[in-house]
Parts: sequence; structure tokens; C-alpha cells
Amino acid sequence: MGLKQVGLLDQEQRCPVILVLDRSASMAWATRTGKIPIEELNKGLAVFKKAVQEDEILAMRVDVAIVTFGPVELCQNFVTIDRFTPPQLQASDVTPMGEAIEFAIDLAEKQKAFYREQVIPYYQPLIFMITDGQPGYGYKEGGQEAALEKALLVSQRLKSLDSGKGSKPKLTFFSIGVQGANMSILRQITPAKRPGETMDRVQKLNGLNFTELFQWIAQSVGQAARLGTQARFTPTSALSSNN
Amino acid sequence: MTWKAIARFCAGTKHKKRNIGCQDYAAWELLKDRAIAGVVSDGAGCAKYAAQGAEIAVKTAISSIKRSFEQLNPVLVDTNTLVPYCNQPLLFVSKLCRWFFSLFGYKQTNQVSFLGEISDSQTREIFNLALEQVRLSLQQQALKRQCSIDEFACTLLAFIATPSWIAAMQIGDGFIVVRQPNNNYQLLFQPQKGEFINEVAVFVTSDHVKNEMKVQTFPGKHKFICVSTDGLELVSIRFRDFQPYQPFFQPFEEYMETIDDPEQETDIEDFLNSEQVNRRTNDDKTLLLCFYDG
Repeated sequence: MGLKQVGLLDQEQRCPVILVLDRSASMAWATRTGKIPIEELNKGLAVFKKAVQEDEILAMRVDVAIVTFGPVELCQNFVTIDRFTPPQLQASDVTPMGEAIEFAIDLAEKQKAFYREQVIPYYQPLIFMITDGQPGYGYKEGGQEAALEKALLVSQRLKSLDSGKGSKPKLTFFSIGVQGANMSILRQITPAKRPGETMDRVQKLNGLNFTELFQWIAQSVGQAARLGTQARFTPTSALSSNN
Repeated sequence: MTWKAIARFCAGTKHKKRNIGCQDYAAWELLKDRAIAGVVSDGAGCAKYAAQGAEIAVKTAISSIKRSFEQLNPVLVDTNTLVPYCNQPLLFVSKLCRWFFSLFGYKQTNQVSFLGEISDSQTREIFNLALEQVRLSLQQQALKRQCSIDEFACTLLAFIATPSWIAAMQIGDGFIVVRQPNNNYQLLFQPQKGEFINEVAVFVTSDHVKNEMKVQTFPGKHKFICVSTDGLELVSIRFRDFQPYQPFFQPFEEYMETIDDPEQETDIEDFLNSEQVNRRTNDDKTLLLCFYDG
């Protein structure tokens, strides 16, 4: 039968993912269980790579980048998953959260411009921020207020991009709070879920279950890299939204 | 000497997983004077009644197009003279001779009723009317269910083809690919997409749809027509330059040529549901194929 010979065109389509990771000093403080958040986070990044690679379609479509703060740095520019080497992050500095989000938004825009230039079809960018604190510039006078102010300012832009008010949504943003994170500030900064979505965009990580967190991230990206704007993000036991 | 056609639409794996049916719809109908009409629609994933929207749109559009077409007045022409006379001086002479003999009562045997030409304004009128009626039908359904017409959002691709031209329209994404003898496959309109790959720029329910609707008449004999929704776009249309991928379309054309009555066969849905296709797309998939045998 002739239809067995139908040739299917192989065309790239990309799904950009940005992980915005807090490596402020507190990430190195051991919890009561003796675990150190930054170490668990590093292990989680390896889990992420493995989980993405296990999903054939996802492995073909994902471009991953990592932004760390603070200071805000492009730890890993966009790469395909096979070329992604999970970094070993060291906790170091303060928490310029607003600047980090702003950096990630600009990075997503730049990457989209690149796709357009190359005529590569792409999905909506996904940004996952993981933090254990709140915006802060350290102990200098007024550091907390200034950092919060900046974060709230950036959050205006973030929210309009995510909700797509007046146009269509341009990206999807999740905040994950690790133990010690100021959840109420995260809730102020993070966009609300869109109509029809079941999962809140602010989630608290239970314990330091980074393994499951990154499996969930990979699974969510898998949704987005197949269904785009119709992706349905489903809860996981590692995360809770009512803390 | 006529058209062979088949319309098939199958639910994608993303809908099967969620126990949602197919939200694509497609249909074709033979018209008088060796013409054929085909319509395809893809219900928007975000719309509550996407499947109903697509089905209503297709059924309404095809009956509207049929009605409009029947009202056009075909001209009686000789089947041998469909080629422009300027290129065929001998044909012109033979036509003249036949006309001369016909004055003395000789009957022409190969004369058929035939719609030789259609103007762009006629085409636009036909499709504008079809669009209006589709929107009206959807509006009625929305009233019945007390919801917004946007809950029936869908794309719309339609065409009328005769042995000497094809008139087509498109709202949203998906594609109409045709081929004339001795020519390459040709994409009639670029899919109307939003920024992201699965985003559609315009639906039949959008506010300014009439301005966004693409309509055009393409002269010439088109032997092969393929209409589809976005589910198969990436495997068949090269996005870099919007060229149809010949290895995709050619087997379908050859298939249509060899099979007597394609609607009786299951090959097309077998293909749409095949592992090789599902590996590449999880969306609903549609193929409306026409082949002019003559």
C-alpha cells in the first residue's frame, strides 16, 4: 500500500525553559534534617536532565537556560538537553530577586528573537524560580525595602506577560518556595493562575524533595512542549499551594 | 471523468488521553458542472464546544457554498477549447468550423455545461456569505447554550474547484495544497498563526475576521487538492519557506489516482492513526483529498 511511503518532514520546534535559581547564602544552611538546600538543588538539576532525556519528544524540543542570583548571573545560556551539564551551584550572596526575574524575562525575549530569525517555530517560554528567601540586598540600610520595591516593579511586567492582558500570554511563570521562603511576598510577585488552570503559580516545596520537584518541572515542561498554551499543570505531592 | 474525494479526521493522542473526541471536521460535496466543494475546520482547543463549532462550521459552509455556486450561471463550452485560443490557433479554427457546421444543424457531441471563469468578486461574495452564515449558526448555538460565541471558535478552510480553476478561502491555520499537471505542489495560503506554534491568529468567531479572511481564485486545472488542519502542518509544510514537502503529498496523489472510490477505503484513517504519525503529532489530524480524473 502506497501510503506507507508517505514522507514526514523533520522540523525543529523549540520549547525554551529558564530555571531561575536562588543561591543566596541561606541556601547553604543545613536544615534540621541535616540536609543542605543548595546540595539538594544541585542533585535536582541532574534529575531534571535525566527526566527530560527520558521523554523522547521533550528531549528533542527543550532548550534550557539557568539564571542564578545573587548576584544575577547567566549560569547557563540556552542549550539542548544533551549538551546541558548540570552545574554545581555554590551558595554565596544576597537575593536580588527582582533583577533575576527581569533578567530571565529579557533572556526569554532574546531567545524568541533568535528563533524568529532562524524561522524555528517555538512554544511559550516557561520560567521556574526557586528561592528560599525574599528579595533582599543584604544588611545595608534599606536593602530589604529597595529589593522588594524592585521585585514588585518587575512583577508588574511579569504579570502582564503571563496573564496576557490586552493580548495573548507570552510566558508561564512558577515560583517555588523552599523552606524559609517568604511565601506571602512570593504570592505578591507571582502572576495568578490563568482562567481554567487548576494549579497555583506559587508552590511550596515540602521538605527538600528536589528530586520530585524537578521531575514535576520536567513533566510540566513536557505538557507545555506538546500542548503549548493549553498545557495543564498537575499538582505533585512534593508541592503544596496552601502554605 | 470526474472528481474523486475523501475526508477523514481523527482524534490526536492528546485528546484520546483525556477522553475528548476529535475537534476537527471535514466534508466535501460534488457540485454541478464537474465542480467540487470541500471544507475543513479545526475547533479551538480553548473553546468549550470546539468539536461542535467545527462540525457546524463545516456543514453550514458547505451548504452555503453549494447554494451560491448553483446560482452562478455556467456557460456552454466545448471541452476541447478550455485552453486559451491564443496559444492554440488550430483549436480556434476547428471551433470556428464546428460553429459554422452547427449553423446547418450539425450537433456537437462533446459540448458540456461548464463554468469557465469566476471573477474575484464572485469568489469573495461566495465565501463572505458562507462566513456570515457560519457565524450566524454559531451565534444561534451560543444563544441556545447561553455562552459566548467564542466557545465555538474554530478555523475554516474552504474551496470550490472546477476543471479550470480553484477558488479558496482560509481563516486561521491549516493548509490547502494543490498541484497542477507538470507543476510542483503549491501552498495556497500561509497558515495564520500567532506567535507560538500552537497559537492561531484568527478564528471564524474573531471580531475582524472578514478582514483577516484570505480569499483567492487560482486559474488552471488542479488535479490534486489536499486540505488539512494544523495537526499535520509540521510534517508536510516546510516553515522556512512555506514549501509543501513533496514526499508527503505525492503518495497521497498517487493513492487517489489508483483507488476507484476512496471513501470506501480505510487507508487514510489508518495512516492518520498510525504510529509514525502519532509519534510526530499529538493533535487531531485531518485529510481532505481530491483528485480530478480527467
